[in-house]
Amino acid sequence: MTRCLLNIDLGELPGEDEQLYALAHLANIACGGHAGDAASMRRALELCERHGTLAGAHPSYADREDFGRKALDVAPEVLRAQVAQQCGQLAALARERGVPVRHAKPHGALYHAANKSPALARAVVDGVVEALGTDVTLVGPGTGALRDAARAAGLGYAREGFADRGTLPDGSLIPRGQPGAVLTDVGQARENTVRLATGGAVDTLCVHGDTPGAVVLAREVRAMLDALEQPPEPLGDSALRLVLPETVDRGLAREALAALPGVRDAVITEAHACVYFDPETPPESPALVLARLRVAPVTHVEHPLIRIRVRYDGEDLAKVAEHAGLSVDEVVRRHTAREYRVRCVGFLPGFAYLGDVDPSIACPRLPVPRTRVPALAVGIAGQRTGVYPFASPGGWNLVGTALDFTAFDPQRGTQLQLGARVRFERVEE
Amino acid sequence: MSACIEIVGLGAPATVQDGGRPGVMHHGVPPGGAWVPELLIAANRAVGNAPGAAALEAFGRLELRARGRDVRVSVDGEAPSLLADGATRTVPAPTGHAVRYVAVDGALAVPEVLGGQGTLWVARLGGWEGRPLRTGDRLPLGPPGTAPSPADLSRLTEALDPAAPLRVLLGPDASSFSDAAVALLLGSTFTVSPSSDRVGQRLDGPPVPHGDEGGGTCRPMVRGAIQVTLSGTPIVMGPDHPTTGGYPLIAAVIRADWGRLGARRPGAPVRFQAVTLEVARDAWRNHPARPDRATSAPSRPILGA
Repeated sequence: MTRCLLNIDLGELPGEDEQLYALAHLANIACGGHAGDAASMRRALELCERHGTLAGAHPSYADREDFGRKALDVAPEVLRAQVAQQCGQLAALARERGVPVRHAKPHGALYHAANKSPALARAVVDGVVEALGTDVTLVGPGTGALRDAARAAGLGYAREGFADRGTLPDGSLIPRGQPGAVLTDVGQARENTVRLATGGAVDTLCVHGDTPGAVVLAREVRAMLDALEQPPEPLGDSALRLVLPETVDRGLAREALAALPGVRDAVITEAHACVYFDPETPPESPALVLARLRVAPVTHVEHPLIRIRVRYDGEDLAKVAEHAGLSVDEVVRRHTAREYRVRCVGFLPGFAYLGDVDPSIACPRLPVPRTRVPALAVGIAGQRTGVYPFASPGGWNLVGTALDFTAFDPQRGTQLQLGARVRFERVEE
Repeated sequence: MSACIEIVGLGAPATVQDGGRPGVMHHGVPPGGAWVPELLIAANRAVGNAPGAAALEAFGRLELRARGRDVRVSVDGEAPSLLADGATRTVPAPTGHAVRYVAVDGALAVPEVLGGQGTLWVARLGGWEGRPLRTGDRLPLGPPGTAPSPADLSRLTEALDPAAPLRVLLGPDASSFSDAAVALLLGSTFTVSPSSDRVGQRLDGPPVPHGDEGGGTCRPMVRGAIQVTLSGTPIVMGPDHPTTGGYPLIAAVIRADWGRLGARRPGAPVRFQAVTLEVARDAWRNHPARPDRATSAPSRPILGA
């Protein structure tokens, strides 16, 4: 999947939220045509520098009154000079700060008019080149006169989609002023993002800085794009490993992945999710599933609390206490003081990785694993704790023995499922 | 008396195995399945069983007696022979491959556990009482099936070619390994270690260096994945592999070559060859262990979880 960048029109309004600069890959800075002056351009350039955002010019018809949104009849030669003057002013200020300006995007009515008229498109491109040179990328509609003119002049061209604009059935934008033209609903913007970023027809997505709730929208779109950028890694030819965002509910992630057509099983581990399938029928876009969950409204999943009684008689308990600089009783107190969550199930049938333990009693695993750990031994390794369901080799520090506990039932599977809450309770000898 | 097969003698460990237990890795349950799926399928087909039906996986000599009815027996897909009720047959220890499959018409009717009938020794479940077979065990048989279909043994020969390289996809933990380590893996000849089992096949040979501490955060695993231990020993995950692991994975053997590796006896040479995903899929499409119609339907829901 090629990278899709977020561009935001900025430097247009007083009181603009600085976060927008952190969220944008590309900032289209108003340079005096429809909005913006030397002071706003300086601020925008400074914020681009601070957040590592790529600064670009956002030239427009010279029409501050209508914010550059009104169609005007401007001769190509006049337009060329206006675009060159606007871009040139930004470029001069950018040079003072040492910030490169490598892209340009026509604004508002000019964007649409120039894309329909080869003469106007050429005027825009010539003006941009005059001010910024040819090592520059023009941002514009997927097809049309702007793209043709940019290509003819040897410029880069980024096809743009709009995350915050509604589209008509034919794919064109709903004109501003009509119902549904500007999306403020996060869910719709999210769907737009996924559809556009994965459709292969756009290179960059726009969120308008002046849309109500722009920061919230931009954050969602950026989160989505970031997630889509993490390509799944093949684990052989019958599995794909995906990076699991920490914010996603682990149980929901597993269920959503397992429900994908072609997926035979899905496994969650500490920092990954993995889907398994027949090599001939790999699932489509499993990363999208996680991306969607990542920005989905938080669903509160009620998990049961499972209490496990433990006799603290493990061979490594004294060593763990020494490592922690605590008494054995204090280690036990801290081990039982917390409610743990099942973060992953794996290694052995029914073996649940529980976390996090109190950092003070975290303890690195044994340098050489034991060849045999008894069933129901309770161990600590790093920030994790867990119960061995079967006698097996193992490298965890053994602190106790679980009583009256069945970790794995051959009929029902693992007792401790993803997300389940677990508490250990001390049983005296 | 209902029909059964009695184990009269054993020269080496043998277990009940089948087509595996798909869809329960998220319970920590390994996928299971035959060590050499091609041979299990061929043996089952030869006696008219479903390709993944439960059969005997034997690493040594096996003496069997038919009880309750006449049975047809195929070893590794060879033309079936009739074993009369009460008669005994000795299946010699495998010579060509590391393991041998003995299928009986009607298949072994051991209980299904978690969607499979194979023995999972690590969890003491499945197969016959969750353990390797012993002399005196009597394994119940299902009703004899439909018409047998002769196996195309020439395709098996190619799939299990003992001299052919094992094809791998590199990664996913390539960042833990230097180019030199990858070159070493692909350029060296390893041998199958005698301490291999269904959990994994250890390979003897030059240690493969890496900079990973194996810090133990659990990561996904798949059969065929090659993990490299702290000492640099490559271990290729077998059917009963732990469902997660902490060591970095340098590469994974492609689906079409799982049996090719399993068939190699201790001491047999192993070389690896890196291929693309397209080559891997192509190899699987034309492979004798591939299901007749690859289905995209999810495996049957088990345990409601």
